Amino acid sequence: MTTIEAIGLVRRFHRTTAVDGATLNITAGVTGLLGPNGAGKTTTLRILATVLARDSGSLRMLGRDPSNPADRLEIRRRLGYLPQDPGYQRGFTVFEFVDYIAILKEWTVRRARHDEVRRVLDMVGLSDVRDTKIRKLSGGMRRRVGLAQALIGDPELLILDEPTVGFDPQQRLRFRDMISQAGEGRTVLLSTHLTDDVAAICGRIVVITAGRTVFTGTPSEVAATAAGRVWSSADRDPAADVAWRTEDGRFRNLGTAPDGAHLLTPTLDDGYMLLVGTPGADEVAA
Amino acid sequence: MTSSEAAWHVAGPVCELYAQGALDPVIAASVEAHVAACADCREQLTPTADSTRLHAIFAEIVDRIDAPRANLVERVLQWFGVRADIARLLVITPIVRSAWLLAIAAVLLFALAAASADERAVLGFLAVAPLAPLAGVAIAYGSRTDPVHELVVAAPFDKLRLLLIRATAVLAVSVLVITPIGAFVEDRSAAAWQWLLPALALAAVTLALAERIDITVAAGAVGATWLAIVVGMRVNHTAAAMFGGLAQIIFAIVAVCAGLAAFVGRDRFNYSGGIWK
Repeated sequence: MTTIEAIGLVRRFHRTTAVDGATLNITAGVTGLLGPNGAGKTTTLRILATVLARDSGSLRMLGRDPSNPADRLEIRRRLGYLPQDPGYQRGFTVFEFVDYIAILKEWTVRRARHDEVRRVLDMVGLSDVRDTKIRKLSGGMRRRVGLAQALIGDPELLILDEPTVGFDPQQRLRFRDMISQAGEGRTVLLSTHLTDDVAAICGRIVVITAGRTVFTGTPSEVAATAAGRVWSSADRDPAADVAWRTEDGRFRNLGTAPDGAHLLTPTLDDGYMLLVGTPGADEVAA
Repeated sequence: MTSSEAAWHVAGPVCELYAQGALDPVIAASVEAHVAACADCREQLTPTADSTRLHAIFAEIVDRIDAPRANLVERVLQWFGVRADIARLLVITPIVRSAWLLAIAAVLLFALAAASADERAVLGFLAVAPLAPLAGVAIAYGSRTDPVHELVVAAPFDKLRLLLIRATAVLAVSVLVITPIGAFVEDRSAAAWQWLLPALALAAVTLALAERIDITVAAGAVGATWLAIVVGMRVNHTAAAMFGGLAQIIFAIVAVCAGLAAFVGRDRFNYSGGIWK
């Protein structure tokens, strides 16, 4: 079943168009929104999180339209959202902060709410620091506090904007484990600019650049878009879109075949680079 | 005393009644004292225990130990009949904390000025005291002053209700702080209450406007208009006339009308600057 169906989303800020006709079709499971910085990922997610209004385009989430107040309320009841910068109240303890958001999420009964706060803190591994003030936490731990509040009430739809920022490698692995569990039977949409994260946990990828969605598919389908365009050669190919020296001392070139080169199997990175980094990428169809 | 030396053991049916929590408290206490020392009876008791009930009891214990303590303000609010979750929301809403401080600081400054007690000081107090709660209301909602505004917006809690809760808290604290100070304004102890209706009127007009425009802009405009009127009228009116009986009736009418306008337009509190509420 489709959780999010967006067609031609547009959102402008003064003169800049942050989202310029993005089209998304998000189903259950983990979907990664992948794109360079400034591609419009955050604006897209803020529209989907019922924070920003769209200027034009059609949008249905969980079968409802967020421009309608009653629908918006219903979406918010079934949504967990981690903003790019949640802006914590630093003087709060971890427990107080999550408890505060739980009240705003209509958890009115104290006992049930406290049990829920404990459950989500346990999920993100912060039970031990629940009485610590947020200002004393590291960046990665703060990010987990943000994640904990998004998980309150076990929402059907989780929207996470750059959830792994500030995580060390170990935290990143734990996060992957948690998200792949959370993605069973619910919809998770997360944004990142790290192809590693996407390859590890996302069943589907939406590539976005300059406010447009340029490709939607599985990680291997993204990789396959670079088939026939990744070459290994002894020297840097000046005509290549991108080229870098790899472990074996040879150059990996993306683009047209240089002289004496042989074809390589493309990776997700190759596909992504060619989708976002080359002119005319808009025309690549899903 | 080891289990083999025990003079008696808990009988099977008693065990079951104990596990269900159906035993007379005196006998239950005796069973507990015995079971704590007797391994045999503990073993006998274990399979009869209802694990759901045990989990519930344990959760209760954890909650007692672990829950953040309700602070004094929260307990007082609950004593006055405020729902527990709303009381919690009030005391942990940092914006209200800072709004309170702001209101208090502004008023204390003017109390100092009013201490000289001539007509101008009284007028100054009455002109500025209503602005303190207004400032509190202005910062009660919005991305400029709430560090977690983005999360607040995406949460289902009704935003107008949240704004009203915070505004009410600010007004209540202002009354508690400003009224006693006003009572000390020499020769004009009426100043202790004469600022109240103007404060209410300004806050109500701001709330009504906030349904259409940004609340800080609304509060700024209302505050500026208020000061302009007071300064303008001061040329040929005394403080007694400007805040006397007739004026108080006008303030009340403005407050009621603005309150009604805010109520009627409540569904408009919905959207501003491209951001949903």
